[in-house]
Amino acid sequence: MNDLQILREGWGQPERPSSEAWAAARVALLQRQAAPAGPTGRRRAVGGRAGWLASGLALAAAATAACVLALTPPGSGPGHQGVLTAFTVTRHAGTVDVTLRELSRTWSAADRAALLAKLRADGVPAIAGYRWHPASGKCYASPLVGQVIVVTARRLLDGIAFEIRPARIPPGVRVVFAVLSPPAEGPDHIHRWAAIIPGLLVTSSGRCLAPATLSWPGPSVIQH
Amino acid sequence: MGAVNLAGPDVNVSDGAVIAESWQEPECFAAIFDRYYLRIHGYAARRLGLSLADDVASETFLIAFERRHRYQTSRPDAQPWLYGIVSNLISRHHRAELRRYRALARSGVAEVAGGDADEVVVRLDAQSLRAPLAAALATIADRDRAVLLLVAWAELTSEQAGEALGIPAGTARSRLHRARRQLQAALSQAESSLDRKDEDHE
Repeated sequence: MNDLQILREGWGQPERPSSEAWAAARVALLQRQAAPAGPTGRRRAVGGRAGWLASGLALAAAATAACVLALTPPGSGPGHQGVLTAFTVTRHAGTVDVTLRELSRTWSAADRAALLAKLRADGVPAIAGYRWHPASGKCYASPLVGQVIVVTARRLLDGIAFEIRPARIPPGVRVVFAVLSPPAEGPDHIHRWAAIIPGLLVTSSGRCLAPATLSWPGPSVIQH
Repeated sequence: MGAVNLAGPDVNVSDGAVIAESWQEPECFAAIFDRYYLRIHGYAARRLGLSLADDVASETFLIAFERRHRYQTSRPDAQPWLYGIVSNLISRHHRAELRRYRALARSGVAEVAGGDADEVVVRLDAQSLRAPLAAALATIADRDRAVLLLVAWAELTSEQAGEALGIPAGTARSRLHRARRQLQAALSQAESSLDRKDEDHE
């Protein structure tokens, strides 16, 4: 064993990032991707949970809350290209309930269009879309334009449900449904994604909730 | 819908092709994150510890995203580029890095928690070298250490390390050579010390 191997192996494996750190970094990148192209001068990166939350608060204060509702379905994993195929949208007094029941391996433009049409018909200015998934070899156009605000979410046995209050969505703000498939390599507890990322969202009141306040399965992870 | 089909499975799509695609479709850049976040984070964690690594790794990809138009897409592997960015960020934490090495040189074992007994024994054995390694790293010049660690921990070639750091390959090789000499000397010393301890014990 030479000195380089000793240095490599003697030092031991690096600690893996927490799923929170991983998700925060990915969301920070999504946020940057969604931002309009600006001057190329160096902007302070949003790193770590505190940076993300501070950024979220600042954005909320500017009434330009830019958040992503990210879902990772139970049972998804590397090679699984998540696509919405089963949903219901039900309008109640003041709220719209959205339930996404399953994710299949086949992208369906019709599903997406139908979901968006239904949401828009019920007064939710929604856009939806998917991310690049490394295993799929495909790259889908960004849905992350416009602004976003969310919603109460709870996990179901076979999916996830959201309660959206259209009246609380400021003008110009859109609800984004973005499915983030886990990468081939990722934190072992990848399925906690769905619990973590909504916790990073800015609520309609502009108050951020720390991920630590969240736990799945459980209702109402985002408070209005 | 704007779906962009890239030929073949993901592994056959070069980083350069993905980054070129991200010029038009910024979302595609997420694939670079997915491919390399853990490696970049791991590299930063080894040098700075977990807490700083979270911020540094995140910032690496934000900077990379902003600079993606400057990437030479004829280069299929983005790792030297990403490691260059993270190395630059790590250099801003020079003092923290040295503090970490010095602390590890004193204690040797950073943390060994959890796991079954066999696992812990294996980890302790591997980490018995950590103290002398950390002591050596603390004494190697910054610019030499940067090359050494890119080769040892990021597993880049010396040419790639040079590319990452923006220095000629020959310069990278000479820095690597110098750093390895110091490392070898430190390891020899540590080995002698361990041998003496074993003899005393017997």
